[in-house]
Amino acid sequence: MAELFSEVYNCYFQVIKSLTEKKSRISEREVNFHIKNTCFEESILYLLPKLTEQGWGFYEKQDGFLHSRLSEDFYVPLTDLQKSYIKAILLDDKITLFLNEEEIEAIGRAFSGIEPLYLPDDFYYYDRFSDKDDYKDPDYRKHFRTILSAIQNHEYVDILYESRFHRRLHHSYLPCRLEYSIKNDRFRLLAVEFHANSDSDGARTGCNPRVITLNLCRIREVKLTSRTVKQLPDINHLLKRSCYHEPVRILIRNRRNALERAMLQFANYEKSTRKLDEDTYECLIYYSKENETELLIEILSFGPMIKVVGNETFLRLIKERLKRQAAL
Amino acid sequence: MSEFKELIKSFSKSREYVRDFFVYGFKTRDEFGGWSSRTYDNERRRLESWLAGYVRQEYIGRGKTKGKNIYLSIDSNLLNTNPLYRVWKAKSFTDNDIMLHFYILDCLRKSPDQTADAITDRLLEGYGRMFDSQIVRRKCNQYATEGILTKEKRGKEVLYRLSPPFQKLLAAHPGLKNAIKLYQLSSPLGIVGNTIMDTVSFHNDLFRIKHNFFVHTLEDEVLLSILQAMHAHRTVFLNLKSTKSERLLETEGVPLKIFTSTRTGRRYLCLYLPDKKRFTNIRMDAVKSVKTEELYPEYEAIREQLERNKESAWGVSFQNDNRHHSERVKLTLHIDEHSEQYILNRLQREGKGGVIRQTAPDTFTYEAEVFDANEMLPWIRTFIGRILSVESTSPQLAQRFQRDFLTMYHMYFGESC
Repeated sequence: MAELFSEVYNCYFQVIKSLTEKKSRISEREVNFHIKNTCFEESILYLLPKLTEQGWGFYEKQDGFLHSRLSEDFYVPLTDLQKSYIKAILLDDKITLFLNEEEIEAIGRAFSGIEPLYLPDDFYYYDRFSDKDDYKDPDYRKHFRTILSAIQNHEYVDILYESRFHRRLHHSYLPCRLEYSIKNDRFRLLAVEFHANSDSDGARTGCNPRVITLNLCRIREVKLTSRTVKQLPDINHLLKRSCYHEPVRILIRNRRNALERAMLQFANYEKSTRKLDEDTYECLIYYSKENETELLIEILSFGPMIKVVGNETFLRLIKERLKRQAAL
Repeated sequence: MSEFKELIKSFSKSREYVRDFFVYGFKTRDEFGGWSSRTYDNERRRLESWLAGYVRQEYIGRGKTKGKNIYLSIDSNLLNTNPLYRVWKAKSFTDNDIMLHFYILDCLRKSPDQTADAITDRLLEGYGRMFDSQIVRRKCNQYATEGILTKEKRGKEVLYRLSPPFQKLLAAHPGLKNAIKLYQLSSPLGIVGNTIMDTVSFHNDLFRIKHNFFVHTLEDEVLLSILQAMHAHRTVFLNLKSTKSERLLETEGVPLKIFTSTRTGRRYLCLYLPDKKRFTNIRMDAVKSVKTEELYPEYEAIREQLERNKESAWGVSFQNDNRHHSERVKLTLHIDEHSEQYILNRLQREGKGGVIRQTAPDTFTYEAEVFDANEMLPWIRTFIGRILSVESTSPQLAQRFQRDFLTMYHMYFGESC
């Protein structure tokens, strides 16, 4: 089996391949841009001089442009490691959201003789929630595919949604991303709402679009509308703008290995940490309104090893729970 | 002084410092024990080059911890891919490696089924580059082993040709492209999926991921070796470095399964120890190297035994401090039966099959039997505010819960409750 840490996957190799694919004649400025986009911060210093005759000779300089000496239909085949990864994902239950049975078989046959890199049974997610989405449900699959197509075509969809309290809601949304939660084994749709007063580029220019999160398993019906926008809104900007509060400020006492546990558990949040004294650390965790309760119970799970000292709202939530517990 | 290079030969050293910067991110130069200041400066510069855009700096101006610290600040919900994958794309190479890569592949695309000697000639004719035919043959054989080329013997000649382009398969099954966009973020060894995206030049414009621990990718080389041993039913010899004490240890056993927590970010290798006739779990980030050893004939039987046992493990522990086979836990909770159905849902979906009963108006019990009741404590604490009682055949559980709660109360209100 090929190695994972191999020069074949090196980003210098990748940028040269993608430059070759793009066009046979390219300006130095464009090369610069692509290197900066694909490689590391300092790669440009080393890589640029190497591309021409004095270096590796992939390009000839003529009339101020670089002319590739490699064919325009140059390609790099997959390694066995990459093929075995494809074989592994074909065994996952979510694959049926993307491919039908015949396609799964056809792709498997294309890589016959290659063993899957891993098997679903090799892993056990011991604290995963049990109420996962039903990927076998034909309606679920249909909704999933319609939404994928809408994201790719920047198209509004009409959605009939059943809320947690069994209320049915009907609305138009511009789907931006599908979010997969490993803990819940569920998909959620991140979308912006359609406003009747928006123009054809409504979601982008409309007044204060807000990101809405919908559980895919609660969608009862989804229809494409043929109304499109040129560009999807900047979802990160919207998520940050509409949801982010002042960070939670916590103090971690490094007992029972709490520091290491906390740093790892909160590693997927944007955060910053500093040492205050020998066994106390201060950590600022940035979170969204939507994740507030989840973060609250994560912090509670550490018991006295973590103390919340700010912000006021979060501190109040913790204190309320403790008071309620003391009163029982 | 040697010249700074942003590419590296071996991954193992980088794995440790990227982890330290990513997970901890509060250590100043003086706190990175065991490294010379030159090493620290080079590693830091490399990290800043690899992960530009994610690296933040802060000046700390207090007492012993004075100095500049750099850290990685990443909100995994906002990203199309895992930025730590970039570390895997920093393998160093020679001038010959990169030239042979592009020239051989280009030459074989134009003229398939060539011998190494013929390829050597074409490299000179077509690209003006002269190579020793032995070097060309070695590279062709390496690529045939890796699956990039196929190799066929015809008479006395060995002919090489490019493996088919993946683009063709993707064009026939466009759903596969979208699937890779998801799996490169969500699956084990997602880095491999990400390299496929590089190879075929596409990006993830569809998916986001929640509850993902990006740092796991740093263990992927170790994971790959372990999976290979598991599939071959072989034992492994492991070199470990304790995550608590940094002590170096060694162990040997039968690798059976990877236990992953979706909440705490910890990942373990479940190992069977034949000498002690028991299962144990070892933190994946503690495993420094793996050596595959002999075939274990009882592999299937032991794995079946694990499948039965894992249902009674709350987390990763298969035994307790009280020498009980298993321990019973009973929680009594105050839940408003009309307005707090979501708490009952939580018990149901997070409670791993524990039995839920209503015992009085707005009062519910949750009962479970597990190998080690102490493992449940962090989860039990998440119900603070509604816990009427904690009972267990493990005497320490209720005591610890009560003691910790009183400490917390004192911590926030400065008085006893």
